Amino acid sequence: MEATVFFNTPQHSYLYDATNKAFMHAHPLWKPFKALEDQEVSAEDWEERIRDSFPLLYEQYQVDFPYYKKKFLFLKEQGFFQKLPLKRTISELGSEQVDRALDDIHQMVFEVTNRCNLSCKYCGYGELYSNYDVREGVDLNAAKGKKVLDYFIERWKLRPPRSYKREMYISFYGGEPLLNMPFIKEMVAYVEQHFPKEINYQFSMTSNCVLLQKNMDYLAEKNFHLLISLDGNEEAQSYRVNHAGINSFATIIPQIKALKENYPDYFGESVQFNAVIHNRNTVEGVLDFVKREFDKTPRISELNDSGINPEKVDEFFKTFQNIAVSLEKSKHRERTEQTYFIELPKVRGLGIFTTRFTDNYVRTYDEFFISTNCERLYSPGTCIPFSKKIFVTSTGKVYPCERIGEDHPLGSVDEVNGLQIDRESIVAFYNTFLSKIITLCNRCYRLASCSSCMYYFKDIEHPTCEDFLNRNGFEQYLSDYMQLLENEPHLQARIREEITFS
Amino acid sequence: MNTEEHAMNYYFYIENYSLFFEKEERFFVYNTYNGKWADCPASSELRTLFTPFLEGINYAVFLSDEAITAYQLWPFIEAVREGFSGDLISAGDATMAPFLFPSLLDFRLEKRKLDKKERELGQEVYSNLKEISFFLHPRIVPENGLFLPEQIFYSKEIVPVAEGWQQVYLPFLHQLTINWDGIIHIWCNCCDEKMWSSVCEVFAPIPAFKIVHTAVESMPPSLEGLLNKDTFSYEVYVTDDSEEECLNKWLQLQSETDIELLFQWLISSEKEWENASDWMERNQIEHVNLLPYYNGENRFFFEEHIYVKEKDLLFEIINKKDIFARKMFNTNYFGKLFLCPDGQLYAHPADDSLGKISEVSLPEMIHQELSEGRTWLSIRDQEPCASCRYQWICPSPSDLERALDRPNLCHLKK
Ligand code: SF4
Ligand code: SF4
Ligand code: SF4
Repeated sequence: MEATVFFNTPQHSYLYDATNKAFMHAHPLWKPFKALEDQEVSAEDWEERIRDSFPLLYEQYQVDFPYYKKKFLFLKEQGFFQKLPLKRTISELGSEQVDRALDDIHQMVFEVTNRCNLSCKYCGYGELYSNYDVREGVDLNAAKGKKVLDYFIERWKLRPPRSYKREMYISFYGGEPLLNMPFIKEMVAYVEQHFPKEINYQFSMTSNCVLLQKNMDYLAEKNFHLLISLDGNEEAQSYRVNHAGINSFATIIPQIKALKENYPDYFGESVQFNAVIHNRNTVEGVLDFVKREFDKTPRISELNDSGINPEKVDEFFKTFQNIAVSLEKSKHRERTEQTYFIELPKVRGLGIFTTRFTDNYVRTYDEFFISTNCERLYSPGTCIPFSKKIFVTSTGKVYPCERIGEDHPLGSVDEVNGLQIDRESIVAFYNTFLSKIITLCNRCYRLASCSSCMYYFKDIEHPTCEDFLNRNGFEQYLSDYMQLLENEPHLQARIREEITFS
Repeated sequence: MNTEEHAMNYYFYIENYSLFFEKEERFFVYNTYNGKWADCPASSELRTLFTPFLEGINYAVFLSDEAITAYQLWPFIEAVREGFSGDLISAGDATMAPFLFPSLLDFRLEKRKLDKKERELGQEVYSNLKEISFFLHPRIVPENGLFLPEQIFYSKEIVPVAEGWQQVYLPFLHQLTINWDGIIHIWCNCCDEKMWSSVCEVFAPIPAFKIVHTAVESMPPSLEGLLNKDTFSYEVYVTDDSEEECLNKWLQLQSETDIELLFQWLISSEKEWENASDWMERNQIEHVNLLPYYNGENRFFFEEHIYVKEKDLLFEIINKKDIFARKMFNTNYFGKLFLCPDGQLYAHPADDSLGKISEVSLPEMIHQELSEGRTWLSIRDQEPCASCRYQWICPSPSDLERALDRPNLCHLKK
């Protein structure tokens, strides 16, 4: 990656200097200065060279020439305009990082069952996708679940906590988790009995709410964080059907209303909604509906576009709807954008843009003490395994999260041997991947903001990256966001003031 | 600057490496690369014109020729340009200002942003601990009973560590060093043979880097056990009364054993400063730190030699990251803890204790200091500094201010 990139918006010229993480308005003379500098032409000869090679440019800026030359040289002294490519370090994964992630585990997700009482058309385990194991109606048994808890309880005894007031989510995932309540109840009781007191655990679950009525007392009593999957009004909900193909709307809405009525405080504090955007709903419609009916602002997500069944590509794209496109269809766009500000794709994109590419953003106190001039990352967009969570499937396989395919488990759990995690083979697996992609990443302009998780690569053994960004692409990326900022400069201030990035 | 004569409209911008702020009813621009300043009076009209600067929305604003002339902005703009702190460009056909990132910190752990999310602050809380001091003995010079300098040890009555102190410190050290690799300071009376041997026993096996602080008169009976250049160094306190012979002994020890050695020379007057400098020159010694020492009677010495002067501040170059840091926390104190012989842990020995190590966990105490501490987070937000243009150019409040009982150490504001 070259250290300085010049780029334009329709109205202005800029440069981005990666060494200093700085954006500047670029004077038209600076690009030729930089070229001359790279050719090692002495600064004394620049004027003559520019007069000869770019007579019009020279004529236009003749008076300013000395000033902008002086400023260019001043900036050069500050480390701008370096000829050498930016020095970047992509470090390999070490087993101690895996250990730390396990010590500080934030979330345990149990796939309670892979059975479901709905048959949503776009389900990740449905006909649109092909990257999962065959679902055989397996429930996770409590003995395995407890072995996972035991593993951590023992671990914490040996290694003192590195964090204070550590919160941990114990999450129940499906299929539909409410189909296996005995497991959930046993796990909850075990946690309450055996977890060390320093850990603030919190139970959570995502549910389609078909069985909410008969379980709501328990969920409220244990203060479950409940994420309800609801795509909006009846039409919007029409992909979420039962096995007979009947829309679940009429079944679930009365149950959610009953929850709100019976447990208003719990509902207000701990219940959230998630809607998937598709061709039968819109962001605005979902926001309005959930606000009106339940006084909540739902989270909104798109269909996962990895692992699509090759035979169903057309159907997938018929169903798929992009959030940004959906927003554009809003009748009251400004109001919708205000409500949805933090989740807006442009706001999220801008957040990444400003936090990764400027020196205004600092994540931790520690970062004030270390030089951030050279980027230090582990394998571009993939998280350190278990730094986000540990996911245990109903068949007892272990993964770093629930969003990835099931081809590469990182461990397993059974009743006899308990949880087995072989750090060394995980490290080898990650680093082998890294060694295959590192040359590409080192040339890639997206490196600082890469979010390409290796599990989403088409062929993890022979990776090629669809998100690779060359210099032209990077110029376009910078230009798009600077143009957005020229148009809506207040966005940046609002992001700075209101949003905390994780 | 585009010099087309008919160009009447401009965009005026401040570079992202410069700061724009209002103090003392003036607008200031400070360039963090070269320390250059520019300023102009802050009238209400200009306040409106510069709203995007002041609210941190954009470091570029539209300016017409008339406005520049009417508000007499040319000298200010010239100063900004001369300092390479910003520019004035012709607006030409552009209908929108360029976007320049305001140099304002976006700190994820800022209290205001975290609100009640204590978890965030508590995460990896150990990484905020940089240094920890173990006080084993309040007196470092046994014969004349000289206390450690007030600025270092304060007026707190500290009883020397009791017999069996290892039992109190060891479990704590063990817990600490599993996950931590900061610096350990050991304040002790090295010539007390018994203490010295237990220091060696307790600290030598610990992999963290250790600095032994002691008085020049207090030479350890043997360096066996501690002598590992990679993980040990010595800071030796010298006063004007110290015997030259003692200094020489340390120097000799250093040449024989190659230990890392720094003399901390306490200076309370000009005369003492001269004496120390003489000695350094005579012996060609460089590893000496002259440490201004307030003895309760030498305020004049401080006012003359230690207080900051505006002419120095005017040329001070402080980079953006340091300025951001000074806005958020005390760069002298942050990350340091002090353990006293009674097991009480302090963020600063002169403040209230954070708790007893046998009763409160270390992560909890660090978290406490991070969230409500008066030491780590003490910044120049009190008067007169709060309304001074050098608020973030001046270093964070330090022990000298504490010793002199003043909020500021300058001649600018009383
Ligand atoms: S998708 Fe990839 S990067 Fe994201 S949490 Fe899962 S494993 Fe980590
Ligand atoms: S986008 Fe692809 S090539 Fe670029 S850094 Fe990320 S993984 Fe590497
Ligand atoms: S008043 Fe405070 S900020 Fe201003 S110069 Fe003095 S010490 Fe520094």
